[in-house]
Amino acid sequence: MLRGGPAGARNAPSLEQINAEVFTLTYGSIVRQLISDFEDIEEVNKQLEQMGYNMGIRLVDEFLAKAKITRCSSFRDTADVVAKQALPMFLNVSANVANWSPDQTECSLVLTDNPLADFVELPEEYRELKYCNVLAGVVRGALEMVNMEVECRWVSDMLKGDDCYELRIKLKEHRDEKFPFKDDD
Amino acid sequence: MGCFNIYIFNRQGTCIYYHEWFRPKSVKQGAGTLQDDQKQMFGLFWTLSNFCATMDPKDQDKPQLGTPRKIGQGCKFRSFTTNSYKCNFLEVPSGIKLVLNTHREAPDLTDVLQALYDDIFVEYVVKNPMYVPGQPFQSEQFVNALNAFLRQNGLLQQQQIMQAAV
Repeated sequence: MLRGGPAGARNAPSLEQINAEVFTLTYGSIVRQLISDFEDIEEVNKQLEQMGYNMGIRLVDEFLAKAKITRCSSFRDTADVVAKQALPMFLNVSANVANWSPDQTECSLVLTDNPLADFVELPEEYRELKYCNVLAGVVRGALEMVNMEVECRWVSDMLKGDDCYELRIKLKEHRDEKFPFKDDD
Repeated sequence: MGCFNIYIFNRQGTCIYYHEWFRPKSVKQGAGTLQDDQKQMFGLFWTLSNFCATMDPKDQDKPQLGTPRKIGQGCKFRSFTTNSYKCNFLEVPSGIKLVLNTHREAPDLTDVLQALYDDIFVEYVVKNPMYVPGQPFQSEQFVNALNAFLRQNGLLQQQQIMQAAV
């Protein structure tokens, strides 16, 4: 949506929306196809995470454009922004941040409802499948673009009988800006 | 009058987009090659941002000159004006840097650059399935939207677009 005129009040950005069921069913068929292509559940988990990573590195630009957040001064702020602004914006769910580790480098995003996994039942032979692994990849990719290297893994999954979805995010490194060129001439 | 050229860099220093509308002094007289010119521009932006953060008179805990910065730390550099042109910068937290050289009398273009990022870069480049982050891109839709947007903001005269198209 282009602005019409000099600096002044800007229109609220229009976010395109997609039907939730179409989204859920499309994701389900992607997972189904990956399982039949790869047959090894661990490989499928890795592929889902990689797909999520590729999405995350692009998604972060869109998020920064639409959300207009001021900078996050710490990992704690970042986790809050992800849970309270990014997830509602893209998935229409809100999450809570909980279980902070004592040194503030690890936390959990707790979701009680997950549109990716609506209508899904996980059969016994796919117990190892991390159905929502794409979300872990998205968070990892997005945070990597803002110089935070994190590790994301699912610790509870409602499809396996737990009472919520819990994504554990661990900050490995908060990198500084590095000059990319070597100091020649 | 109007815009002279635009550079878009990513975090790794690659110039992923360059466009010029009006550049009477050729690159050969300046940096030598276009690549050197882009590298120098990136280096300039980098140094100025670091310098500004260090010299900030209001900041409580500003970094020492030469120490590595985290993103968003310290104040942000906006523009510099010379007697013939004005150079406007914007850096986004994800590392994308926009540099726009305009005529000297241009007002503060921070909002314009922000809107350029929000409405044009994200819409036509990031959402483009053929865009590979880190590689220079070509997109006709992006160029058209860019020209239209700059014209709307009074930064681009009609004859400049025609000059550039020649």
